[in-house]
Amino acid sequence: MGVPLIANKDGEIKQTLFNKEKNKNRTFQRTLLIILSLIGIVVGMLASIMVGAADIDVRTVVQSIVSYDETNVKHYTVMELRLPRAVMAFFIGACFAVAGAIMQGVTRNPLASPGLMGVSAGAGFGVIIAFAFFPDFKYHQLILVSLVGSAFGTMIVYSVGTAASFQSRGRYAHVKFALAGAAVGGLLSSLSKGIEIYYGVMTNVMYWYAAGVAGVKWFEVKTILPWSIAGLLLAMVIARQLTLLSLGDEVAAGLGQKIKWIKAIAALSVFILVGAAVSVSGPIGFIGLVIPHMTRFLIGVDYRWVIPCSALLGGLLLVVADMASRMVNPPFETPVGVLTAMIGVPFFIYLARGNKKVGL
Amino acid sequence: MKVLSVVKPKGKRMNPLFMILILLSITLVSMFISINMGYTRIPVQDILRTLVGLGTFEQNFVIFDARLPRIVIAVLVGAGFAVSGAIMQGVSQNGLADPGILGLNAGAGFAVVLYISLFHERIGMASAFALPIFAFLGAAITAAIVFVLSLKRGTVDPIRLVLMGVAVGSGIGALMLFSTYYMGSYQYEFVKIWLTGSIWGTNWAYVGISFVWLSFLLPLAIYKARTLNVMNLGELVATGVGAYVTKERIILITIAVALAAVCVSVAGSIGFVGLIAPHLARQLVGVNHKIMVPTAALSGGILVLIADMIGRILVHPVEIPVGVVVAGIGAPYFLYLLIKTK
Repeated sequence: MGVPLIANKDGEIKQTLFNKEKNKNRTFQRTLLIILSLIGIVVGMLASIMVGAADIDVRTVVQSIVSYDETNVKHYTVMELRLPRAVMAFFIGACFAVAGAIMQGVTRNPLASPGLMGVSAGAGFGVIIAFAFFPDFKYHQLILVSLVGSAFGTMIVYSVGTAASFQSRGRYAHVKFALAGAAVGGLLSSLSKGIEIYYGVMTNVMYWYAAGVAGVKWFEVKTILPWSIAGLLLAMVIARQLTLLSLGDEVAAGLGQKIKWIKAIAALSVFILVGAAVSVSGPIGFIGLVIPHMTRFLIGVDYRWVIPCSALLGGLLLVVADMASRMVNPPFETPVGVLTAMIGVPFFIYLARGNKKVGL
Repeated sequence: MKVLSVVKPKGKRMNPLFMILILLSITLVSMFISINMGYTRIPVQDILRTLVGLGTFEQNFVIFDARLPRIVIAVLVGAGFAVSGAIMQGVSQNGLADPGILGLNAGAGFAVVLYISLFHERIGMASAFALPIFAFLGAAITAAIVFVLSLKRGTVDPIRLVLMGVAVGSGIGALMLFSTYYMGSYQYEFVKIWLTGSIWGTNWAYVGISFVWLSFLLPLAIYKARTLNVMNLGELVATGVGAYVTKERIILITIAVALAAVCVSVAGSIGFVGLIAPHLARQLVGVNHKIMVPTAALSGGILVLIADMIGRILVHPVEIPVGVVVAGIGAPYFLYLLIKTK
């Protein structure tokens, strides 16, 4: 209990990082994973474009991309409705997954994820504040509010979690952070609900979140894209340092890392990623928890690879989940968060049951 | 973290019975104030006159049909949740246990939602009586799942129990959201109101239902509370002094689950009451469960009553659901407890 995941596996990490034989093996796995997930993403997006109220075959999809004909209804459906939706789903999944990967790396807490640590709840709170008080905010302003909200939520959880684990001299630190996250999530969502009711914006907000990625147009994609790419790039910049940080603060400091700076950049990147994603789709849980674990399991703990691979896998998961949300109960759309919870909850239980890998 | 409930009392305490009397009178006074609060203000002498049967038609309607049943339900439900939480904290030796956190509210709620979507007619009297039973089944199954999942090498780690509760609760939440998509608009509206923790059953029928169930469960819980004192000594000692620990534990948990289920079926999921009220009671009267459990019941009743009042008068003409208000008060207190526990 209480021994963090990665510190537990110090030996193995050093092997992974410095053992050439093993690295060769890893390189193969990494390349394979990237190729497979890229194929998966192309197939998934294609399928996602084809499935819907109007069935569209592959040829039409390719045609409408290669030689777009504005007057053709099917071409219009593909290019203006389904493609932006698939692209958006991919980027949101990538954002949540990478944010989770960074958080798990920095905190060495296997339960760290945007959903559990109050980041998403804070961002959602920001969005609702914007809806209630600044109803004429533009899309790009909404992202900023959502970003500030995610920073706010994280700050509360982090200070409570730190104070709590300080009290218990570091024991149960993981659990206390998770519980603080759950309580702050409950608090913020009840405050949000109160504000929604008070200002009578409930329908607007419900419409906003229910729409999720469904009503997305290219305009929204263009507004979100710079943010999520900036967040992903920031994550890549500190990827190497994250690997060292995941060995423990002392080790990283001993290796000459400027820990405070790295942590600050990591936090900034998480806020940007989650803020952008939540402002479109609302808090979608469990992607940020599950995908990083899966990625580390598949290709090891070198964050230079974990970050891009998490992005690909997270994006793939959300593209597929979004497609499934349309297929479960047509013509209605099942909220995509329900589908990710169906995958995420069993996994969370598996983690919390305290297998050796996690060290809970 | 482990045994919050044996935190030593500090300083001299008031006589517990005196404390209970004070809480009881606070309850009555707040009930009286709550009758007066709302869109139509009714002068105090008119309230008294109406209560003894001399009110005008309008006053009768406002007081007897609208406000009083709701007030009574708030007190009953608050007491039920609080006692349920007190038992769970005592049995699991975990100060963070409560029906909401352990996922029982979600389980009971899901059963209610299923019941509503299966039986399409409006909720009539007969079905309203069956509702708590459905809720109990849902909560009991959830409790079993959470318990089995936290079982490892024959022991239940209190912390794993809480984590499993959170996980199972959020899983059921997703299922609930999913099932609302298959509902007609009437059922959907109902579930939406119900999920925010609103006291929706505001007629005397629901008062009757919850009263029938709770008037049997609450005294039983208070009677059984003395075994909690023995359990507090730890399993070995408890077995040593002759308490049938396992059997008693199962009885107590069943009572706690039933209490939560009844409350959820009348008032929706009101979180944090079961968590806070026992802690408040411990601060007030110490750790003797014979006194602590009734004190928790009264504190829980007052808490929900006042939260409902705040939700009703804060922003005319809209109402903030009581669950939202309670969470607004409860979550910061939970965070405070989290920081304080070792």
